[in-house]
Amino acid sequence: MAIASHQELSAFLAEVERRAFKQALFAVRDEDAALDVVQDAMLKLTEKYAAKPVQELPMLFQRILQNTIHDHFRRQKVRSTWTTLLSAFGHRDDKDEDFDPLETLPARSDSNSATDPAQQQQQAEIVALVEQALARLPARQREAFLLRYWEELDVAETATAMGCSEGSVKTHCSRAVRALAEMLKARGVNL
Amino acid sequence: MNEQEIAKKIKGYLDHGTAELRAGTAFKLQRARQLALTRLSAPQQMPEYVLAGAGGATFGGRRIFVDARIWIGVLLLVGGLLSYQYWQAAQQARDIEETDAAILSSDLPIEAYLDRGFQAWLKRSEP
Repeated sequence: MAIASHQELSAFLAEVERRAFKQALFAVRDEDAALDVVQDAMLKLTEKYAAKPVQELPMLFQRILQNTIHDHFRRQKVRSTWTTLLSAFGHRDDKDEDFDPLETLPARSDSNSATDPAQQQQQAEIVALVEQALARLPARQREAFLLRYWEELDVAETATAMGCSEGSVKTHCSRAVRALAEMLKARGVNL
Repeated sequence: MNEQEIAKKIKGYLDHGTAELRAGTAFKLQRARQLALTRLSAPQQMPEYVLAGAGGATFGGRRIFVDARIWIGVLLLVGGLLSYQYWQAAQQARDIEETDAAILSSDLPIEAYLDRGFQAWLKRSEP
C-alpha cells in the first residue's frame, strides 16, 4: 500500500477537521480547548504517522483524537487537584457525570436569528438540542456513537480506536442511541 | 424505528450542525491543519542540507554531522578539560620549584632537614 501524499493528507484533514472539532467539543465542552485538542491530534498524525497508507488514516486519526481528549482530561484532573490543594476556591472537575449541559449551556447565538426562515430556525434548534444531548451522554457511549455512526467506522475499527472489545462497542452504541432518542423526545423532538 | 434509523437521523442533524460552523472556528481549524502540514514537509526537506560524506548518521534522531552546535559543545568541553589539566600540572611544578629554591638558598645544609633531632628541635622552638 502506498503512503499518503501531501495532497491526500491535506484533503483527509480538511475532510475530518470539522467533525473532529465537534467531537472534541462534545467531550471537553470548551471551544478553545477543543481547538487545541484537534490541533494536537493533527500534529501528531503528520509528525508520526504521515508514512502510513491513506486507507489507515481515518482510524489512526480517530485513535489519536480520542487519546488526545483523554490526555486533556488527565491534565485537567492534575490541574484541578493542584488548584484544590493550593486554593480554597478550587472548583469541581467538569467531567462530573451529574453535569447537565441542557440547563447550563448558553443557547447558540446564531440559532435564533430573526432573519432566518422559520424552518431553518427550527432545524437549528433541533441541531442544538441533538448536540446538547450528545454532550450529556456518558463519555464512552458518546465516543462509540460518534465513531460508529458519525465517522462510519465499522465495529472492529471502533473497538480498536476505543481500545475495547467489539461487544462493548455494540453495547455502548445501543445505549447511546436509546438515551439520545429518549432525551430528544423529552425535549419535544421526535425522530 | 430501529437503532440504525435513529442513528442516521441524528447523524443528519450533526452533519447540519457541522456545516454551520462559525467562520472564525473554521478559520482556526484551517490554520491548525496548515500548521500540521508544515510539520509534515519539514523532515522531507532535510536531505537537501546533508553534507557530502556525512552518510546520514543520526544520534537520537538528529544528524550529528550537520549539527555544528553539538561539535562546538564537544570541542569546548574537551578544550576546557585539557586547559584545566595543564594549569593544574603547571601549578604543581611551580610549588615544587619554590620549595626547592627555598631549600637550596637556605643557610642550613640539606642534611639538616633530614635530621630527626632537628625536626624535633623546630617543633619545640615553635611558640
